[in-house]
Amino acid sequence: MRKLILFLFALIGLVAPLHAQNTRLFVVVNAKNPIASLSEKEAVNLFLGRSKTFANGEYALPLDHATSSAVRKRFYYDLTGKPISEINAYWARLFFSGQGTPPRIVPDNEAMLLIIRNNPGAIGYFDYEPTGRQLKVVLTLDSR
Amino acid sequence: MDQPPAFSYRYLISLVSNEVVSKTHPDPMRSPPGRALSRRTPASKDSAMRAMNRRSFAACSAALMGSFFGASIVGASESALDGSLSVSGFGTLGLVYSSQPDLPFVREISQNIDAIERISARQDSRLGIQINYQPLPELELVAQVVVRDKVDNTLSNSVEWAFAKWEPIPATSLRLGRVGLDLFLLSDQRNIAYSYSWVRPPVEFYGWLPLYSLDGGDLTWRTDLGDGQLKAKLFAGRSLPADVKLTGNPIRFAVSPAVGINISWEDVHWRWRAGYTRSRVDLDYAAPSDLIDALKQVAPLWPHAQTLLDSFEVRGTDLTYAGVGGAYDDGRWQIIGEYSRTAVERVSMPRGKKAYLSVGHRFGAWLPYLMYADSTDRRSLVVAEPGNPMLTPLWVASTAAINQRSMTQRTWSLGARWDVASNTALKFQFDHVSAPPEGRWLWYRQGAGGSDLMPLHVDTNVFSATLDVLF
Repeated sequence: MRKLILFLFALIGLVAPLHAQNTRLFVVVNAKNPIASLSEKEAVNLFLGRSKTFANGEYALPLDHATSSAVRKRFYYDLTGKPISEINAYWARLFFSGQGTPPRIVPDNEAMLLIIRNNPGAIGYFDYEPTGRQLKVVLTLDSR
Repeated sequence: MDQPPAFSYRYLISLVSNEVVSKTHPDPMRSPPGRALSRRTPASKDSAMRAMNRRSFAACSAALMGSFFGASIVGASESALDGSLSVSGFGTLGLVYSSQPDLPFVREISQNIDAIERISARQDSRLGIQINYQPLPELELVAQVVVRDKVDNTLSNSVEWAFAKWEPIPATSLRLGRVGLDLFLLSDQRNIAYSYSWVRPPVEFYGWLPLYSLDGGDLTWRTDLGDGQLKAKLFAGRSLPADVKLTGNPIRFAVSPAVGINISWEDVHWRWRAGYTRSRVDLDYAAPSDLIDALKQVAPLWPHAQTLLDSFEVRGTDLTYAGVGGAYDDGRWQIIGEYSRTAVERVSMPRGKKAYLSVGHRFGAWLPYLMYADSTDRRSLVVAEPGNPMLTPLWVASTAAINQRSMTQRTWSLGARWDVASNTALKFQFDHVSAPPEGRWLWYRQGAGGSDLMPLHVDTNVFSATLDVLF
């Protein structure tokens, strides 16, 4: 048993944290959305399902990237400081106890842009600054 | 929003990917599909659709990756039921070894202990499927079926939840049907091992009460408070009964009615909860029927038999449960603890104080943790030995059923969670469990007949490994 524990801790030492990116993430809404900016706390509340509306009371439609994508991992880490497995565990707790539903997953950036351009309540995030008259960046996240 | 969107996101989503996104959203900004579509020219619509059909391949493969909320959703449901049905699930495959011979480890009192060997996959293995259907933006129907080891396994008692959730106004929801019996910090996630770091919630705190579901309802109200969200929940109903084996002969345990209130607060790092529940025991005797029948037969000869019968008779007895719990998680440190007090008027039922504390630290994909759990349940009933030696075995058996069946034990646990994929965790846990001779609520010794009643220290090491998945 002691050998097993030593082995486990040796493995732990080998796994180094992987947070070396310096780039920023952009939280984007439809240009028609009246909110000018979003605080990190508001973003946490929207993407963790604690609030269903923007500050002005309009319903929000948060969008997520593919479960195992790198951008999703970075987004939640920068926003909450937690690894993606913790975020998945959080949603498993809420979803399987009937308390909430996670943000909708879209397959790629274009799909996310398309939905944001066409829905004033949609909110998504990108690892580049998307341009276009129908879009508005409301929060920029620096990497932790 | 003064202007309606060009067309509805649900239409878009259904084009982009039936497989990945198929849940409706209470979206007041959604415009009628016909009107929405007419705003686009046919040419641009066609090219958009072609582009999106190509994308659906990517969506398909993303779904097949086994990712949690992607693959959890049945692709064909979108067209069949207008995008509001989803099927998802969770499962655990576990293996447990306990070192003390003839004392198999059980995770909770409702497990079929007679079928559990020294090495067994029964304790932690389980499979759950959940169906969510949202016919209206403010109404959701949820059903969850969980297959796990129980004394009595039927389809009906495997339906963990089946409720209608109605949110007539934001921040208030009413659930009616079969809902979770929410006594503990982790009540509703006990089966979803992926959602916590241990192999299983501490048995001292979670294993004594086998009740998971409540036929009734609850009302939850939410509000922002500080940096987090405050929730207050009222619930009432009748618990789904559970068969428990205190000896070879099971008894069916339930509480009815149960009424409770919980208040919880949660932000990014912290989660606090306090709850109080009052319930009435829905069970005639807290002892196997053969023991009760024997006591009833000898009651005319032996007056103390009636004293014992009175102690075992629990129907209508109040059972109150008060608990507080807290959890901290900043992405590195993970600390969880709970404390509770259970009160019952009869000595034949488990009561007393329970507590645990767990501290873990994340190193990349690994999360090692150390936990200590303790349950103290003091009870004793002194009944003089009967003069007639023929009655001695019955006296031994019935006093032991009270004095040796308390929920008194403690466990030190050391383990680690390893996140191998975004929907899969592997866990390893070592437990050292010790219980005094009178603390045998969870330690019925199988097949040992009378020797089951002999005083015996529980001093055992339990090794467990599990694979937890979400799908």
